[in-house]
Amino acid sequence: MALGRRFPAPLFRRLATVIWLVLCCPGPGRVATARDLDAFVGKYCGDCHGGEDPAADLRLDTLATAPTAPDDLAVWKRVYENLESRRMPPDEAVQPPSVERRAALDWIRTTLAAQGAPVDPARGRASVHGNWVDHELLFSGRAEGDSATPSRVWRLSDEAYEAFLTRLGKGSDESLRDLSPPWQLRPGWSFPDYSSAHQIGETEVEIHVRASQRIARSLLKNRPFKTPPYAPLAAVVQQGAAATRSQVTAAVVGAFEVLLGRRPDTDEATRYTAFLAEELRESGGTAGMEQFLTAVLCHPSVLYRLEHPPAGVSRGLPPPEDLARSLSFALTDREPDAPLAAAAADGQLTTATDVRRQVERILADDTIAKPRVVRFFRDYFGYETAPEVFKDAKTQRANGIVAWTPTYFVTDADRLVAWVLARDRDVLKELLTTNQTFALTYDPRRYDKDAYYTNTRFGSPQTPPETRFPKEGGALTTLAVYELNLQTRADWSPNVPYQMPAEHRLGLLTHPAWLVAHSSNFDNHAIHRGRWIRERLLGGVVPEVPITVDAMLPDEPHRTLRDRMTVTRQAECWKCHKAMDPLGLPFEQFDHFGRFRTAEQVVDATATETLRQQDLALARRRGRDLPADYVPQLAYKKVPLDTSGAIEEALDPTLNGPVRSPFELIRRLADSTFVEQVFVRHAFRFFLGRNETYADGPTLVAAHTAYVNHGGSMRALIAELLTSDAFLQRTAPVLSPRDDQPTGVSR
Amino acid sequence: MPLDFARRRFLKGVSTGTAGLVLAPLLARVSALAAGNAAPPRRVVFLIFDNGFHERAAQPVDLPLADTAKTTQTSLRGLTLPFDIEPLQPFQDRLTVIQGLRGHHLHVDHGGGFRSLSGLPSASKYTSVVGESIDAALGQTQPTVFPLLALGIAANGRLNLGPATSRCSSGWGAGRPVSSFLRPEIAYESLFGSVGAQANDFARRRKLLDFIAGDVKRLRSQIAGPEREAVDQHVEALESLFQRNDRLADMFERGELGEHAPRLPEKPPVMMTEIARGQCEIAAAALIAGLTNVVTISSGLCGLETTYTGISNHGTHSLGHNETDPVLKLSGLEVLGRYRRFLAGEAARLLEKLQTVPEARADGTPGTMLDNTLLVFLSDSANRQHTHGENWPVVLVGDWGGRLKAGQVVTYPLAAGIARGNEYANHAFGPPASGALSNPLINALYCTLLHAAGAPRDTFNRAPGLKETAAQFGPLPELLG
Repeated sequence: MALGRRFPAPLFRRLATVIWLVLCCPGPGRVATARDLDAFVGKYCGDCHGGEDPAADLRLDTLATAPTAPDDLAVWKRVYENLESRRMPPDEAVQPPSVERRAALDWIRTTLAAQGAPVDPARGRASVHGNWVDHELLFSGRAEGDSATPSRVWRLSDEAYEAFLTRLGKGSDESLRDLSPPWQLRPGWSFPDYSSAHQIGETEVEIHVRASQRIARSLLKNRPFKTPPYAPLAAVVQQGAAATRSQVTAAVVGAFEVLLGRRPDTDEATRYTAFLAEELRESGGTAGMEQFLTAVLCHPSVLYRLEHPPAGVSRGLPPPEDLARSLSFALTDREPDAPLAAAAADGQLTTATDVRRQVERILADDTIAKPRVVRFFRDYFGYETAPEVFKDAKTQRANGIVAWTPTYFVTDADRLVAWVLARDRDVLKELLTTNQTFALTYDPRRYDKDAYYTNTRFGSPQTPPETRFPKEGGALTTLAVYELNLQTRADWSPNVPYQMPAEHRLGLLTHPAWLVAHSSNFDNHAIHRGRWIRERLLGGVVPEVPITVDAMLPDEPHRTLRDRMTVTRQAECWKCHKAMDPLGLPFEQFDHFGRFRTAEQVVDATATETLRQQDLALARRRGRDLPADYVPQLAYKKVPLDTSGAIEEALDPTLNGPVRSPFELIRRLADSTFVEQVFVRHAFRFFLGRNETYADGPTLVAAHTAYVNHGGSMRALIAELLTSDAFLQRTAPVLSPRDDQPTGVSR
Repeated sequence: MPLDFARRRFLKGVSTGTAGLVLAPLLARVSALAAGNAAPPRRVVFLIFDNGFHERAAQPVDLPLADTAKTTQTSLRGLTLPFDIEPLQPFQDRLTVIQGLRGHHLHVDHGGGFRSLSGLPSASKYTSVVGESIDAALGQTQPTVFPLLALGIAANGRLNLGPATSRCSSGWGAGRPVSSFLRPEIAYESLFGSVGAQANDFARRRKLLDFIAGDVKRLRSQIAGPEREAVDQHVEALESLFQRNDRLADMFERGELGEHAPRLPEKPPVMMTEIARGQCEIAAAALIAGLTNVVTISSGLCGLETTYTGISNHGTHSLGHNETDPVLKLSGLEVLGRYRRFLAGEAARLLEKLQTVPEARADGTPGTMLDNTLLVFLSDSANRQHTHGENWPVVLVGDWGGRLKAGQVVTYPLAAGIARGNEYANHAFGPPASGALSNPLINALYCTLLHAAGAPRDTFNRAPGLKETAAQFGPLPELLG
């Protein structure tokens, strides 16, 4: 198979990228055409997949660029997946620049969709694909363009929806107690709370409408309608059809203020006033008001952040009330607090300076909970799923684990993150290098009541200080994993960090929360760990597992994980695994329960066979054979530990080189400016809810600069992101007549 | 009054009402059915569960699984169903056991998420919907008020009722997941919540939905491009709810909702067994009322997302690893047997209800709704929790009026118990059977269902890049009648 020219030197690659950008990139207003794609295929695919003897029997030079036949569409899908995952062109061949690859992907995707064979439209928008944008170009100072985000809506998180329910009576009215968010965002490899992720569908809308009706009834029944701002609503309920126009108008304004936190605009005032007046006429005071309140509660702003410029403005900040909500949800997952709402109402939220004032106020105020900031780190490091990684009882026993409660690791890591954020110095480096942890903390809102019970009992002021940790509940195991010598109530506080052995722990990548979250039922997960480092710290791209691969390691517990992972050294595997395995294997320093170790435990095949023979002999003495589902008792032995690994093919070549331990690997990464920039890119994605584009280069540079100039301050980084054009400015769409066609809901 | 008459009267009536304009395509079809001029619906219930369907749990006890180099078809007559599916014994003459289908291309270890019912591999089994699932495809062929009713069972073992919905099993197409109702009381409200309504309530709800849509449409005009997908989906959702409201109004007027609505317990169910029973009752009622023809009930949300409370309080994951339940003093596999038997029992109750409702068979002879209904009983993780998809046992109940062959065991070439390559395994699942690499894939079963439903395709979701031949995705002659 012809492989094309050798992979060019980095300098040449950079030069080629710039030249291509200038000459060839389909810029705004110009999209790739079938002819562009022909050229692309000829340039990057034709050497191998052309002519009479094409590689893999796949000929692309004659493939229809206006495909309609199912077979042609299937081939284009295959091309799309290979191009998207960067499996093709192969490493040894000339690589298309990111923008050229993207243009080709856009063409294929659009063409397939037009033929009724769409690829998952959400694929490319997931945060895991953000690294496709060339890092060097982003931070080169040459990237430019309008970084304003197109107008959009961003559905609230399930936590924010829960807060909405609580605000309107779930906590106090028994009739609302069983309401819950109509959707849930599942933790995954990509950030789950993205603006394009989890779009609200029919079932969710219906549940929300029904919940709104119940809330409306509850409001009518329970709220003190006699007092402002409910008073105008009470007047209308009392008057019913006899309510005057001004009373109805006042009720509409009051309902908007109470339920949506703002006054209606002119159009809304007109529509809702007419609606309420008609309902009052037709159904009377109470029923009419219930219907009206339900309608207000179904306003899109209850379900979404609305992010578009004011009507008639093609580019600008969203209206202040909408902007205030975007800011507030970005940091707190809650509606704006009083000062922010007041700023929006008073015209004090119309410039980036105004916004910065509010952002810095919220970030500096320790009394304002900012769960979204901790959530960013939880999603970024991906440690939340530690309790979901199942370790069966036999495995626990074989490893000397008495009671396993990994929920502690997650809450302890959360608390550590919050503690580092409170200090706000060298945040990333601190998280990558600290040997501190909190211990046995709990979050009753999220985790097991058992953990809560154990801690409240143990942590109660009435608990005598000499009380020792209870054996049940996993506290002792957790402390043992941390290697903390805490014995009694007097030794322990959930509010202070403890030092784990400095020679054994170095930051969150050695914290049991991260280690367990990136482990499997029976083993460490060196591949996941390596992938995490490749993507989250090195800004690299790891292709998805090819669909033809049954990605399983041999189930041979008498061999070390490193030994079993040699199966990935086969050429077709190694082209992807070389990006992960050498980065993940140094973490063999820890077992899959997150414990530091100096030797690895494997099954002793010989000793196990001896046990089996003994069982067999015993069975035969009793005139039987071993049962068909017999599993021998396993014997174990220790074997030497190998924690070596390497950073290879990093986009910043100064990071490359072998490492002898996870600590050497982490120190090298923690000292890297490049790694900091990759971290900033992920913060951008999380707080903006979308992947970066080349136009976001200046925003990223400014955010990184702010972070560095303020001594590694997360607050400075967030403030810079939330006052950037990317966060603040929205561009209005240019609608075609087709876009404005009614959808037929109204009749 | 027999439902048949009630339904005919309703259908004839509704076609002249206001909803006739809205639901013209649907009504044309169902009116023809009422007049006896169209084939009866092909109803289907997918009951999909977690932790695998071990081959011995599906295999008749007096027909031990054996190595076979050829596809075999054996009559079920006189055979005894195993403990796990014994409750389906009354339907044995219309039951089919399938062994040897493969799903190795899907990576359904621990549950397949969206992969199991689509037969499509994907980057993330719980978030990537890369194509249509079979239940959605069947639902699209015969539109009803709910083209697909998706119900989930996810008891969390606590008093906390948990989330209202989940997206786990089904999708209309790429990027278009279907949400499952996780709580019977919410599903009930959606389907039968209007039972106690006043006639005027439908008109008010119609007005409300129309008004709400006004705000969303206004928003829609301010957004374009990919960012508008979210708003478009919202508008579509409201449009669908609007149409559904009209249809329910007409059914309400004819008393059909009240006639078939199940009774829910006073308190929302919490235990897995209660939730499963509630969802099966809702499914039966929705089928009988004609609200839907396709139901998917996913226990465990295609990924070990339930506990088996009511049967066992031990961890679901542990049971799949054959850990002993310390309270029941049963091995994990035995508890899984009880779990599957319970689900099979609930499925049998559902089928029994359908059997009481008269409905003509496809050939016009008298029959019951059961004659036009198919149960597909399978696990989302093939044959065990830790699977390579080497064998995907499936039990079908029903023959869709003779369009599917039934009363048989179909076994594709199979190594009944592969040599135990891993004698040091930390868990015992019993030796797995392994279908030959050239065997049909699970997609082929789904393709067969489309053929039997009268919507044939050459293949169902044949992902590009796979080594398998098209024939492995195509319809199964052993099943087509």
